[in-house]
Amino acid sequence: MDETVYQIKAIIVLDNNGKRLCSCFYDPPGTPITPLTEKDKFEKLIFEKCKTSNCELEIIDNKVVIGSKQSDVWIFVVGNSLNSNELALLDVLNTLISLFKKACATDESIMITKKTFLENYALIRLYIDEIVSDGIIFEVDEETILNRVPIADNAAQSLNEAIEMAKEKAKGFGFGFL
Amino acid sequence: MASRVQKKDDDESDFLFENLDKGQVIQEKRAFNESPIHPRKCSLVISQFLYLLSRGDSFTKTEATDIFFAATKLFQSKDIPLRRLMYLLLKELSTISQDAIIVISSLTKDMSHKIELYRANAIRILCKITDSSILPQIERYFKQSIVEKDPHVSSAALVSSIHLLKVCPEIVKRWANEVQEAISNKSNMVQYHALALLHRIKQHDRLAVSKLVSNLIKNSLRSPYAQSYLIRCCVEVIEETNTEDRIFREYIESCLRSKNEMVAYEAARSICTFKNVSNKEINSAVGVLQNFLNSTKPTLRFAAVRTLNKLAQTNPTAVIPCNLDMENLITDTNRSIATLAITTLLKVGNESNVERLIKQIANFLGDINDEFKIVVVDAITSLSQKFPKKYKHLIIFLNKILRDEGTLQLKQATLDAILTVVNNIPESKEIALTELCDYIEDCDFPDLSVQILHLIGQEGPLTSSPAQYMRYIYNRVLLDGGIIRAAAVTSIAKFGLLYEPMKEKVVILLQRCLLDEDDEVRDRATLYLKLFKENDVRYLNKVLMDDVPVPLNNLQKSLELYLHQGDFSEPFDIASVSTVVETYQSPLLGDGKSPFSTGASKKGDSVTGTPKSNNASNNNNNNEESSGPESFATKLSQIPQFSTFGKLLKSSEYIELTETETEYVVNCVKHIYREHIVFQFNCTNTLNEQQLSNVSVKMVPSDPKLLKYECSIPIDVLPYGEPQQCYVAIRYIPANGYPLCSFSNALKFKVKEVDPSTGELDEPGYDDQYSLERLEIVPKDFLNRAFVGNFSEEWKKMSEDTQLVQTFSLVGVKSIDEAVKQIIKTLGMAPAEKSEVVTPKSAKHILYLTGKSLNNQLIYVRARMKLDQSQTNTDVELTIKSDDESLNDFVISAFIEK
Repeated sequence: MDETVYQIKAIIVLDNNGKRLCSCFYDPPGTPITPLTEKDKFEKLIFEKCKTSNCELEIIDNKVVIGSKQSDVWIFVVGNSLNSNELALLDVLNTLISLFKKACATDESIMITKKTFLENYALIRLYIDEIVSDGIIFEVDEETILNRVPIADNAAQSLNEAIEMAKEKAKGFGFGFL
Repeated sequence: MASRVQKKDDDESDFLFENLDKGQVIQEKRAFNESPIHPRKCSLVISQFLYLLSRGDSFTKTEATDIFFAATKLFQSKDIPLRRLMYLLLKELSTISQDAIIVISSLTKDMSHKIELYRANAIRILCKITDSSILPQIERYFKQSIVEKDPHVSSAALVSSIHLLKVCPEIVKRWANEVQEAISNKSNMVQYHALALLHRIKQHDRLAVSKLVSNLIKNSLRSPYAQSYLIRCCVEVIEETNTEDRIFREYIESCLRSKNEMVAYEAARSICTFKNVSNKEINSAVGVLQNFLNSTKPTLRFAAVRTLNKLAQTNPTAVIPCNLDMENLITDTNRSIATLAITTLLKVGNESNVERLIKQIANFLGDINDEFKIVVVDAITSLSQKFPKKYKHLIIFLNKILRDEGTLQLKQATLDAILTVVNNIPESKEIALTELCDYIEDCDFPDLSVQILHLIGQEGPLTSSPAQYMRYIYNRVLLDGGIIRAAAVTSIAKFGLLYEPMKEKVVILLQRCLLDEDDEVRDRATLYLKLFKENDVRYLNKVLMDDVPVPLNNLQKSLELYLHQGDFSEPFDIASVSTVVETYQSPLLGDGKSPFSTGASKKGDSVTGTPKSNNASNNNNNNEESSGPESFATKLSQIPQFSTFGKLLKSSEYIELTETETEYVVNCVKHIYREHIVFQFNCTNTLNEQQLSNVSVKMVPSDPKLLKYECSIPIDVLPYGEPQQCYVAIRYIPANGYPLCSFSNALKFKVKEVDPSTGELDEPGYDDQYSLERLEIVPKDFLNRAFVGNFSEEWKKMSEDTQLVQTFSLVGVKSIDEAVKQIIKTLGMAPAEKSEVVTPKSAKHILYLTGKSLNNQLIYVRARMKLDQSQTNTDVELTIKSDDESLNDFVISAFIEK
């Protein structure tokens, strides 16, 4: 019955080249930690399968995988076994996408792109953490999560300002080399 | 929402974090020590650490600990966004840091903080670093949090407790009352988490689980997640208790009508897995799945068709109402859905709709990739066994796949499928050969052409008009590369050998090959021409028709092992090579691997392979072959008790002593030595709540005088799911004859219960035993297969003075085909002259077998058989020839008892 409550094996976000942007693999207590090589192999397999077959519903390595393409970013939710209920996985995926869109929204667009994903990385990680807790579906109601981690909160703004600071600093650093 | 201005500059094309350097970021942790704390700067640094961790950068324990310690300074900050990130970072680092325990006092303080965010996050981190000595001190806070009204805090406590249940089960179990109270929380997720935790707390008390589940059924759960979980609990109760109480099944049935699709699907799927399911129940469940097949949501279609695909394997009739809906899914834009629909339809199709179905699938093939096509090919192959009369449509369909664009892997799978159909349905041979001839006219893969030429050479001369194939074969000589030309030359020669009217033409064609630019082609043509001119039919047969009788991969492995062992005192024995073909794995529909098959040797009886063309003639024997002694000899010779037994002469096939679904799964291999027999028992414990120790098999022989007990080697510890071996060795005296007898057997062991949440054993355990099937030592245990080039010639050489003729009846054997299989199985000898192939519906047949005793005396057997007048038994005249009369008597004794 472990798989009944530990429903989520992984949440994986890849870019258009299959490069990892964010991966959370969940290993319930008492099970071995997934080695990095296994994660890399699994992600490569997912990307190859979904890219070549234009398929967002797959059984890979005896796990149910549900995915979605968002402009230049791929988002996948991996069930823990063949016994996963696909609709529970879909709930998680839909909530992830909806919150990512809010996090990545700009004046010009509500698309999730690699650029906006990375620029709002901390906020996105907080959202993932509120949706799945070590493989257990923790919350899938969007409003509830937004109340717990408000977008309008300082985190986003201060992060943007910090990004600008970092860029200024990088420029200075580069100038120093010249 | 505040507007954010996107600043344009030269760095726009660079992605943030892309060139992050771990060493530099570690230096940045200085920001955590600054006073006062700068939230914006610290937030950026935390983001960078999170990215590095997720990217896969590894931190040493020291590095992780340093960062962890630095981050704990942020507990002073009152900036809530920064605190959120701090908690996240600590959570990520807590499992890879040393001395994470340092934050317990800070987290404990946060557990009683007035801000819910602090309380929830503190709890979630604490469950990662707490242990059985710390938990009692903070138990009070956990219990308070579980019954907290705020769902963030309550869920955090409940989910953390689910994790903690594996760490400190005794303590968490004390919170059952609080968890029960939390089920009434207004939040759907809290209700779900509380149910999951309470169920797991009571999991080892079946009566308590049953009571909990039935109570919750009466008090309606609100949360869809809780309802789905409760359905699984019901399934568990039904399967584990065989309860007569209908409340559990009725609840699942009522959930079929849920408006929440996740719940309705969970209910339908559960009903489809019931072992004893009523027609009413299954029809209702299938009805729900049928609706889902027409959903606009791909995930719902996928879930439904996947469940129906599984159901079609156990209950195909139940799936038939969905056929039309699934036919619409053949063209689904989602390829997984389409492929599942196809393979399900192929499982439940009936004879009248097979043709239409194949046509629909053919139209769709261009849209799917090779991996999915292989799944379809596999399903078509299975279909041919169900509907042999439809072979024409199936062959044409497979041929279409063969001709389309595709990888070598797909082509090989398709060719294998065609060969399987031809082997199973002899009537399909001519149409298949015709299609394959067309194919090799324009084939991009030399390996496939060679295989097909081999098949044409072997089967073409036996068809109604052999001449038609010659043009295609000779075109290969004119148009293709050297390897293919060489194969074509051999095929041409086979026609000359097997079809007398074409002999002269074949000679003419071979003469034209003498000028070929390729050595191999010229050499073959030269050899065959010489043999034809000398009319050396015996040698032509030997050169052209005698296939290597074993799979080439297995032959290669055995030869490599022979060379590696370095003992060349005896010549390499081809009879020792296994003829079991490796199983082909379906990429999409393969079931999850059971732990019981991990590490266990592959059982001969369970192997069903797709034969390669050069192994086609061995297809009938796959299930009867011994595994090669080499693979066992190495292992057994490393066991000191057996090292003095000498050379291992033979190992038997696997003999199942239990059913595979029982608590303990046992099979046996008999290893025959000159004066000893070793029984190897492969044992698997399929109960995860038990560990067995001191496992052995008690064997009681039916005739103790024939043999003496030598020794027994038990299994010290047999955990769940890990197959291991125990052994019993006996001694016999060959001069006194073979120790043919039977044994009654029992598995004896000590049982220790395992607590699944802690892994602890319940000492000291208790002794128990488990009955096994009877085991027999039979004549074929002392016989090996042998291979001779020309049976009839060797048969004539053997004196009739020493031959033994015996007639008997195979009672209840109603067909010649069955009689042939039974005789081959009983004697364990190799069929010769392809005599194991029986004309369908034949009333009489002659079977030739060759074998040898363990001391290498050759044995020839001819079995003439016919159905008796009543058509219910088969009369057999067995003639046995060898140089040893007593050996003949021994062979016939295999049938005397019947």
